[in-house]
Amino acid sequence: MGRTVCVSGYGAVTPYGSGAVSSFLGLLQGRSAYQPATRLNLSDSYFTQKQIAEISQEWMHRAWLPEVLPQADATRLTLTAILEALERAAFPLDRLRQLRVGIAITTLESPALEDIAIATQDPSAVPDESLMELADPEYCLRAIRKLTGVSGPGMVLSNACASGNHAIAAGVDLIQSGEVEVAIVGGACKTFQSAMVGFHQFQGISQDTCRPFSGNRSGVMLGDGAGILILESQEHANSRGFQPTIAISGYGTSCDAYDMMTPHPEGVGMKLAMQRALEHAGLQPDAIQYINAHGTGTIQNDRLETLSIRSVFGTHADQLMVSSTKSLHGHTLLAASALEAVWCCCVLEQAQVPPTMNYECSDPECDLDYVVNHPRTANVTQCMNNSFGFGGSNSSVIFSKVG
Amino acid sequence: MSYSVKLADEILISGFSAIQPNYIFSHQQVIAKNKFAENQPDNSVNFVMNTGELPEVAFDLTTYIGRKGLRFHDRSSKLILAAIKAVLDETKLLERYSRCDINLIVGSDGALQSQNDVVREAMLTPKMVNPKAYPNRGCNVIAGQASLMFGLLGESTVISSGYRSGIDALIYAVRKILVASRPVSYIVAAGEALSGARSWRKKYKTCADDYGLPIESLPIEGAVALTVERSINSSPHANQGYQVIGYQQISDSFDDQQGQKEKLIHANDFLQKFLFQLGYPYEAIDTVIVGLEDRIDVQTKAGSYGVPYDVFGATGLLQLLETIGLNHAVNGDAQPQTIALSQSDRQGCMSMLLLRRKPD
Repeated sequence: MGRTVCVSGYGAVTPYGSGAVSSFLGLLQGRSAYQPATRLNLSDSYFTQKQIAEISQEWMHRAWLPEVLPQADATRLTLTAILEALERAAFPLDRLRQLRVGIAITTLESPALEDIAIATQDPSAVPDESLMELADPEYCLRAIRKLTGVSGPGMVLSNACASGNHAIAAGVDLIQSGEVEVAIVGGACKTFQSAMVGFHQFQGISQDTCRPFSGNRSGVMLGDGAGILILESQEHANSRGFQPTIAISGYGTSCDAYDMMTPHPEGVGMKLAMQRALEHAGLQPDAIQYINAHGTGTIQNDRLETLSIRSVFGTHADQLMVSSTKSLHGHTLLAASALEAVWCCCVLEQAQVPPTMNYECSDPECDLDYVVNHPRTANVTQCMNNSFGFGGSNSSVIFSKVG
Repeated sequence: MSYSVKLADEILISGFSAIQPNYIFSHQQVIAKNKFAENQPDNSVNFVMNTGELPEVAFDLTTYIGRKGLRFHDRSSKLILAAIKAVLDETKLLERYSRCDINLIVGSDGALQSQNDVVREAMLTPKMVNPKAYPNRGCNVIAGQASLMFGLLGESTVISSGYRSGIDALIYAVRKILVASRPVSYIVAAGEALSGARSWRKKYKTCADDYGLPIESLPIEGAVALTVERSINSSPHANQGYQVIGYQQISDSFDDQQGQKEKLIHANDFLQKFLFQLGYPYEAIDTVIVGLEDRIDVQTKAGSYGVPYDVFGATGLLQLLETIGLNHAVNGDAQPQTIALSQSDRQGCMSMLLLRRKPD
């Protein structure tokens, strides 16, 4: 990498509440966030899983922001995480407006797309204006601009479950190219009905709970969440007297080109993403101490992610700590890797590795150190965030301690 | 606060292909011509203007992409896949790069109709949802579908920004190449089929009706695919390619209360500033393509005209490719030396690009 790209701030909203540090504490305590869904209608017997890791409607109501429409929950989550991240980065909004700032996000108001799909059954129906606004993929992007006043390049990326890491990578590019000094990256997702259906249809949903890497795992659980990072060139951070403690050392992206849902049977794309990230960072595999795994809890993902990690890290794989926080807060889809990137930052700063919860029995094909059921104290200086999605999209990002 | 990027490195649009109702064409040739087009005057703009009854691509796309797996694909995806196939054939990208170094960026808001269809199905008849079709249509990962079809192992990403999707995907690819530490190539694609959802969006969201245009832009089907790579890595035929001189993406160019005409004037002002920052006076540019949602104006040394068609996020790029490819191939028009392209939405987000023909 050329210019050093730092993480000046981060923010999160999860079912544990608003705030990255308090949410991370929830993970360290191993508190499950799943509860019967109150927002989605999962009463039909078709839905074999009735629980999600939900952010309460009470929280949504409390987090009212004048910039957004009342129904724009995912945008509200995003903006809340941004405000926290900016505060952590010591960026007052009026200062931000004077800078070259880019935005790369993944947030969509998916329930609005569902409402539009229903509304357009009748071609003569006149749509609700706010619904049209919400269904625009750039709705959240515009709300961020309205809130922050930034006017530089902005993009909405779609790589399914790997979107968050791709947004982080896009922010790194914006800074590396010299185009901006600061980038707001990440996204939010509020679980939506059609996603529940999608996961049920291809039998990817867990029948009980999410048990990544456990021999009796049976699939994913879905959850709400937002994760935002403020990226900044180190040069710029230093010029304003700010000393970041975390840098992004590199990233790698790839595509399996194998199947739209199933990972490549040899983990070709997963390996390539991790290798490219190491190459981009100029690091040897033994520099990495912890991996926040994609770890969905499906039979195939966890087996192939393990296989790929072994292939890329060789004998060092046995020294790696690996955990899947999806066991606790569920799979937040478009926001998943952005949220998990926040946990990587917390691991570097707090020297605590969150656990893979609900692990019950071993699987001979999942034979890494998964930090099961209890957090671990470890002075991690470099970690990797893995993220793999539908369409075979893969991405890995490496975070390092600086200073 | 805006900032234009001027490229010190030579990054080229080294090849392209496009599909519209009357032609499939590339940077080198007309690949196929619709029979209907044979009776039309040899001017691509007029072709489309005069073909009000022919907005659909009539070519058998399976000729270009085969039949395997096509029953899962919606029509927008098929159009994009066919355009990608044509550009891969002509540029020999698969022979010149490792598959790990060929990346694909698709500009798409999610093929509008098919996304509606699959989401509606999920809401109303969940058991009917085809799990194979869900990722592409429901999650808008058309890039993954295309990478799968052509065995591309590099990045596979979708950029969603409405009418700007195509140009934004192109800028995204240029930026990626700019920061890449290894020789990589990017395919940029965009396209859209005709659909009820598109008509609905155009009717209620695009708001092009107060332009006072003599001709309303006609929704047509189409797709484009371009290859982008460093000049040093490109093949000899890229001598005919266009170099990216600079780009800019800004968001605060208009006041929301302004009328469409004022916005178009402002878009021109911003484009002029952008060109000035790159050291190119506006008057010196051979072809200027300025888009505001579905309204696109083209200014050349010979005069100006409104683009009479609308292919959603692919419109600006299709007009660009007609200007540098089809008009040359069909009419023998000289290829412009410099082309400025801008596309804005009604909220004032604007993406701009300056291209210069690579000297022979």
